[in-house]
Amino acid sequence: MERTGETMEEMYVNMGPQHPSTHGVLRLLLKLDGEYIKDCIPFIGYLHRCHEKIGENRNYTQVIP
Amino acid sequence: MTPEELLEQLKQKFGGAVTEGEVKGAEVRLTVKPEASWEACRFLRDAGFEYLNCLSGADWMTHLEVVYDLSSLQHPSKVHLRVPVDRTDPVIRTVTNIWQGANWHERECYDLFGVRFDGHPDHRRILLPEDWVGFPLRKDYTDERLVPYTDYGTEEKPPKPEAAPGAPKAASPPKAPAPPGPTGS
Repeated sequence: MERTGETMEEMYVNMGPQHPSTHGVLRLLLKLDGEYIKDCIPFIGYLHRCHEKIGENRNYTQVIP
Repeated sequence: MTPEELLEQLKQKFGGAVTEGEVKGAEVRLTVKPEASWEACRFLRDAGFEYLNCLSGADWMTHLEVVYDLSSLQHPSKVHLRVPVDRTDPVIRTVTNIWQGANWHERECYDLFGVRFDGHPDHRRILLPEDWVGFPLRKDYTDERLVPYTDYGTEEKPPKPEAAPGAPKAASPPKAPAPPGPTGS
């Protein structure tokens, strides 16, 4: 089936940090052409727990994961 | 190629740029000056260490350091490579053209330590927002939300509040149940 008579419309849609379809907390910036994804830019860091920074002031027994 | 032979080859090829080197078990640990770090990584990749396990940073108080953990799928040995970097202006050449997987690792090292990677294709923060000021994993990073850890073992414990008159006394340990009396009256 060929696509005729359609215009291309690029749209940036944000699939926000919490979304039922994404695995966990992940933000995706999607460049869409209709339903087709042309580009995807991920943003991460929402689940970072700063374990290393907290461990700077703790004993070994307090930071073993 | 045994780890000792690899270390010898590195020392011969790079001479004074290899400041420290030792072999511990199956691992070659060495420290290389930043001017020769890209060349050393290229040499190691061609010697069979095509897998970059991790690229991380470290903050010794006098200088920062970029740490490369390499392993090989051909020889049963590993390489632990440390490159000390100047603290006031930390720049090092990127290794994304040697190992593709270093892309996000170098972004994380830049984000948390401030080490700039010369030639990185996508040089921006990865975990923190773009407008964050500062590099958190440095030892001199301060933030009022960082509460220092206090060890209550050495300080005096806060005194227990006195019981107000009329309040029920603190529960005493329950008495042992009385032994059953003789049955029948």
